[in-house]
Formats: sequence, structure tokens, C-alpha cells
Amino acid sequence: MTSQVLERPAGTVEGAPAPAASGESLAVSTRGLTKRYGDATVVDDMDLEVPEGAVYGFLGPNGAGKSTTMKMLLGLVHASGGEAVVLGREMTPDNRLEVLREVGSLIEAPSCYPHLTARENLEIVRRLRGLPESCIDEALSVVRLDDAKTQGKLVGHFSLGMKQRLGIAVALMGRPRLLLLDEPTNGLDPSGIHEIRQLIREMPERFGCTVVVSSHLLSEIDQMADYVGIINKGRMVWQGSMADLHARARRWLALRTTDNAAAAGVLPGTVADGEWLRIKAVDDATAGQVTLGLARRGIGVVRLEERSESLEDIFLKLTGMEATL
Amino acid sequence: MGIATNAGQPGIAASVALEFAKARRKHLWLASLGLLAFQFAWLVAGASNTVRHNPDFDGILYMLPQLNAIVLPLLCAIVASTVTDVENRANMWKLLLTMEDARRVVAAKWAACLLILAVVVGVQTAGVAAVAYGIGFQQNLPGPALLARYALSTFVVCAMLITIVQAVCLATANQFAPMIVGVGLCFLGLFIAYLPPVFSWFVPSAYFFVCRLVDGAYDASQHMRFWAAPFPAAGLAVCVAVTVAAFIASRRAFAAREL
Amino acid sequence: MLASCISAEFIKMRRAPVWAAFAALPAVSALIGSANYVANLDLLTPGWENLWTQHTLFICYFFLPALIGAGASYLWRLEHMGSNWNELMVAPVPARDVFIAKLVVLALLDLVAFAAMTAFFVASGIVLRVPGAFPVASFAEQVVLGWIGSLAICGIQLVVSMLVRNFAVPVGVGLGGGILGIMAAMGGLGYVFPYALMQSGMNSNALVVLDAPHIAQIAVLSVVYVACSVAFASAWLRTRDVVAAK
Repeated sequence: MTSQVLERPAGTVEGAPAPAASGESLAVSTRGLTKRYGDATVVDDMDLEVPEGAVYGFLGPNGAGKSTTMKMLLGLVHASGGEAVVLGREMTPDNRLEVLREVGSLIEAPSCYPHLTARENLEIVRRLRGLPESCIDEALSVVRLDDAKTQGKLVGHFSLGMKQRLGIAVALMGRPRLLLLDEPTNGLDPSGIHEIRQLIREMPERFGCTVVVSSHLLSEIDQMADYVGIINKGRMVWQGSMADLHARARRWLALRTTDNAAAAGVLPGTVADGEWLRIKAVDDATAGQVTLGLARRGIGVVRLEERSESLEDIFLKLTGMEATL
Repeated sequence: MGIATNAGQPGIAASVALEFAKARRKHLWLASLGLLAFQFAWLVAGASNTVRHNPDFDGILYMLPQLNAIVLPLLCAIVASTVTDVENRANMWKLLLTMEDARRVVAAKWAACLLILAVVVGVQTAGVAAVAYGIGFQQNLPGPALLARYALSTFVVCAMLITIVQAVCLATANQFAPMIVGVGLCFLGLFIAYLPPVFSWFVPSAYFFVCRLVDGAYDASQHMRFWAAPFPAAGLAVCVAVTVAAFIASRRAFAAREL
Repeated sequence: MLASCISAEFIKMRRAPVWAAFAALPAVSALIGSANYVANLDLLTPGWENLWTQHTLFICYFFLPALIGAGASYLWRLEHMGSNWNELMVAPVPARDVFIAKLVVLALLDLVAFAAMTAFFVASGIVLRVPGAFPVASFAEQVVLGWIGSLAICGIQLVVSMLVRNFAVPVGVGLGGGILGIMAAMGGLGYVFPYALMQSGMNSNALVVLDAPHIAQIAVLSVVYVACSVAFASAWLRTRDVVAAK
């Protein structure tokens, strides 16, 4: 039995963003993207890498700089420094609108004219983007706003969930190559959240697009995204695939015995955890030997479980917020 | 949000048409023509009273700038505010500006306001002609040339007012400010007319008086005497200059804004 | 209940530019009116009456109704934006109190205008050395009656701004109402038409007869119009579905 109880898995250096998988092209990449408002640095030297065809989860607490970063990608906010390459083109004031023709967005609250119907709203966006008329029907059916009852309703009479769905319809109308969605499930009920989550997960395959979803809800990103970028206080804290993030989870064995105190004496490096004892995660053969060893000393093993850090634990550690919670 | 290019956005005519599409159900026409109707009713009431003892239409033409100064600046404010505010209420700017250049949006809204104004002025001019020829006035009836001049100067002054109010609308999300500017312009325009004429040149809404068709003064026997005012080339030139300057400045300021 | 509604409204109005506007309008009017008075001393008979006319003629006909319209729009805009309607309507207060609270604030804004008018009028008169004794009685009557008459406009404009979710249009209605008020007065309805009550009460052009029956009529009708506005608004707020944004 080694003395190390809780061991970090080998992997990326804490705090450094991981490079994208080699050979993949990037839908979005930024180098040193920065935004300052006076003395406050809201986005600090961000190197974002969104692989094409992925669902990229942009994760961070409220006020971390997610919306500001997305606004910079859309040219709604002028960057204080750094550069952004969207869909293979560096954004300049000259080509901005041309590049954005292939980008759908939903930033903060959905944008829709409350005095118009859903169809009229989409019609205005369609004309601005120069899309064919069939796009409207497609967009409405994807978000399921195409039923007869909804047709004549003014958007001002929509529920929050319906407005959110309309916002998504506006974003994905015309099948843009890139979708930037800022908290798309905000204010939705559980079935609505499930529906939108499903939709987002399917988008790369169904529509051939790349999706960047920002959220402060870890569970949501966990269920939707292939890649994750974790941002805190304007800095990118960790970036990589979801699989890699899960792999960072520390694992250990927890056991309960008939005599914990005696067991702790026998097994070096044990950490007491209330009713349980924690030991380093080991393979089956070694675990079997542990239980046999305890049994020989007359200590019965009542429970033996494999546990791991939750994604939430990882996230809190990466954002340095364990102390506050 | 920088240099305007056509690439990636619809043509200007399409943009203007979109502004009208957005203003659907905002009762824009109802509000502007409705306010005009109030003014017209007032004109008719006053003219009907006057024609009985004085069939000279010059008196009515002399009063027109006053009626316009009371109503038209507010009408311009209502139009500009409604067209611009439609984006504020919809939380729309951040989406709109990913599809349309900021300068183009300002220009399209401005053009839409001017189109509405052109209709309003046209209808009003027709109303003036109807009052002139329909109630029984005998003298100094306005011919086509005079009516055209009236329409032109009224339109040019209103264009200046709408540009000024639109600049305020773009600068603040709360529409209280442009409405106060509208009411204030009505107010100042009316009042300044009672001061010596030179003061009128400094108040935008007083240009209805600067560009008047008919001028008048009390003679020795305290009667009002009227005469045709010369073509207001200087006044119109100032209006156009202020319009262009205000438009360029507000468009530049808006394009530089961050969301 | 009502008291807490009213205090809530005042909290919403903190740091609002509206207060300044209601004081500024009479200020500017006094300034220009005084200039006009001085410039035309040869044509007018100098005196407090004429100074009052110069100060208030255009405000009472057009611009105070329009400003009241803007104030009413401002008071409702806070509710029309976002989903504030929802919060407002689930607050445990009767619909009637919601409306009355806003009416109280608007009446107070209106009072600010009248107070400013009074202050500037007296000050101007002193500075310009207007001849004659200051007509305290008739002046007080005109100010008070003018304010009472303007309450009818406050009630109606508040209803209009509640129904129309466009900031600008109710201001136009205010101006239009003022114009109709002039026409109504011309047609003999000066003591009846709501927008004409303030005009008659203020007696800006010194042509209005303000004897006891007419004073009573202005006061009573103003109260009636306010009561009707409150009744209509209460019924409307109670029975309509709450629609947050339109």
C-alpha cells in the first residue's frame, strides 16, 4: 500500500488551457483577447479554442466575463487587446457583417419585438440576413413554435419559455455555421430545459454547425458539451475536452468497518471521513488484499465503495471558490 | 461597428422597408395623422370664425407658422421616438447590430421618419388648400406655387426637427428626454416668435416663422397689415446645414457606442 | 395599504428627471413671458394681469397638458418595461390603489409646476416693478382653481398612458386635448370639457368669468373626471389579463 492516499491523476498542469486536439480546425480562436473598462479588466488575455463541429461549453460563475467575450466575438464590444478569428477569418470592421452572416446568436435575454408575432419577428431577421422564405418554417418547427395557436399570438403574450425558444429560432434560422448561445435555458422549466439541451446536443450533427453555449450551470454543460472552457474573473482557467475534465476527478475508495479505529491503525495513510475511512483508489486485486488483511485481524468490512470528485468539486477548485461555498 | 459596407447587409431601400415592418401595430400613422387632425380642426374652427368678417386668406397664412410651431415639433418627436424606441423595448440592439451596420440602422430610421413626414406635410398642405378654397375666402388664395413653397419649407424645417429629436432618442434609452425636447421645442418656438425676429434664428422650431409665407405688422391704426415674405433661401439653407450636421454627428456617436 | 402604494411610487420616482421638467417648464415660460411683457409694454397695459397672461397662456393651453402626458407616460413606463406588470399585479394591494398612488404622484408633479409658476410670477413681478397692488385674492383663486382643474387632465392622461404602451403617443394626446380644450371654450364648453377646466380656472387671458357657480362647476367636474378615471382604471386593471410586455 503506498502512502499516498489521494493522488492526482497525471494530466494537464493546473490552470493552463489545454491545446485543441491536433488536426482539428477551429471555428473560433482568440489570442490574448482582453477587455478593460477603466481600471477593471473584465476579460483578461483569453485564448479561446472552439473546435469545428463541437458543442463548446463556456462555463463560469456569474460576472466571469462570458457574455463580454461573446459580445467581443460578435463585434458588439470593442476588444482592448488581442484578436479573434471566427470561421477562419479575422474580424475587422470591414468584414464583420459578412462573417456574422454565418453566425447566429442569442445574448443575454432573447431579442424579439413584443408587438409582432413570432413569424413577423423571424421575417424581419430573414430579410436582414437575406435568407429564403422556407427558413422561417424550418426554424419554427425546430423549436416547436409552429402550432396553430401560436401563429396569431403577439410575442409579448408569450411565456418566458416560448420567448427563449423564439430567440433560439432566430439564432439558428438559415442554419448558420456557428451559434453563440448565452444561457439559452435561462428561466425555462425542467421539460423546456431538457428539450433545449437535446436540441443543442444534436445541432452539430443535424445542422452541421458549431455551438458555443455559455452557462453558469455545471450540470447543464456536463450534459451538453464536448469541450469546455472554464472562465473565472475574466481569465480562462481550464480548457479541453469534457472527457479530460472528467478524468481530472480524483478517485478514492471509501470503506466502513466493524472497528474503524483499528482499521486506520492497520492501513497506513488512511483518512477518517466521519463514519468512513478513505484510502487511495487501487485496482481490484489490491482491494481484495486489503479486505483479506483486515479480516485476518478480525476487522469486518461492512461497506467498500469507489468514489470520485464530482464535476462540481473540480469546478469549484479550478475557480478557487471552495472557500466561499 | 465601424465603417459602413454593403457586404453582409440588405440594401438601404430594404432597410427602410424593414423599419416600417417593425413599426407595425405601433399606430404611427394614427398618432401622426391624428395629431394633424387636431391641428386641422383647430385651423378650420379659427378660419370659419375669421372668414365671416375678413375674407382675406393672408391672415390665415400668417397664423400657420404659429399652428405649426405648436404641433409639428411634438409630432416629429412622436415619430422619431416611436421608430427608435421599438428596438429598446425589444432588447433588440444587440441582435440587430450583428446583422446591420450601426450607421445603416440610423440612416434607415431617419429615412423612414422623413418619409412619414413627407406624407404628413403633404396631407397638411392639402388641408390648407381645402380651407382656403372650401370655406369662402376671397382674397389672396394660395396658388400651386405658393402651396409648393409652403410644403417645401415646412418639410425642411420638420426634417431638421426630426433629426435633432432622433439624435436625442439614440443617445438615451428612456424616451422621456426626446419627448421633453419635443414639447420644449414647441414651447420655445412659439414663444420666441414674440421676441424680435433675430431670436428666431437660434431656435430650431422657430424656423416655421423664419420661413413664413406671409409677414405682417400692426399699422398706425392698430390694424394688421400683411405682405408676401420673400423666399426664405437663407432660412432653408440653415435648416439643411443643421440637419446634415446633426445627422452625421448622431450617426457617428451611435456607431462608436458599445453595447 | 394606499399609503404604502404611494410611498412605493415615490421611491420609484427617486432621481427621476421628471421633477426637474415640471419645474423647468414654468421657469422658462416665466423668463420668456417676462421678456415678452417688457418688449411689448407699449402695446399692453402694464399690470399683474397682463404679466400672468404672458407667463401662462401657452402653458395652460398646450404645454402643461403635454407635460402631464409625458409625466403619466413616465409613471407607467416603469411598469410597461420588462415584466414589472407581473410584480405590480401580484402585490397584495387593490388595483384601485395602484392607480390612485400614481395619480397622487402625478398630481404632486403638477403641483410642483403650479408652485413654480407662482414663485416665478411673483418674483418676476417684483423684479419688473409691475404697477398696481398684487391681486392676492384673485391670483390665489386662479392658481388653486387651475391646479384643481388640471387634476382632470392628470386622471385622463394616466388612463391613456396605462392603455397605450407607447411613450410618445399620450404626449400627443395631451397636446391634442389642449387644442380641443381651446375649441371647446370657443364653443361655450369651457366649464365642461376636461382639458378646458384648467384653462378656465387659470383664466390666463382674463376673459373667463370666475363667479361662484363657475368655480363650483370647475371644481366639481374636475373631481368627477378624476373619479371616473379611477373607476375605469380600477375596473380595467382588475378584469384584464396581465400582459407583461406588448
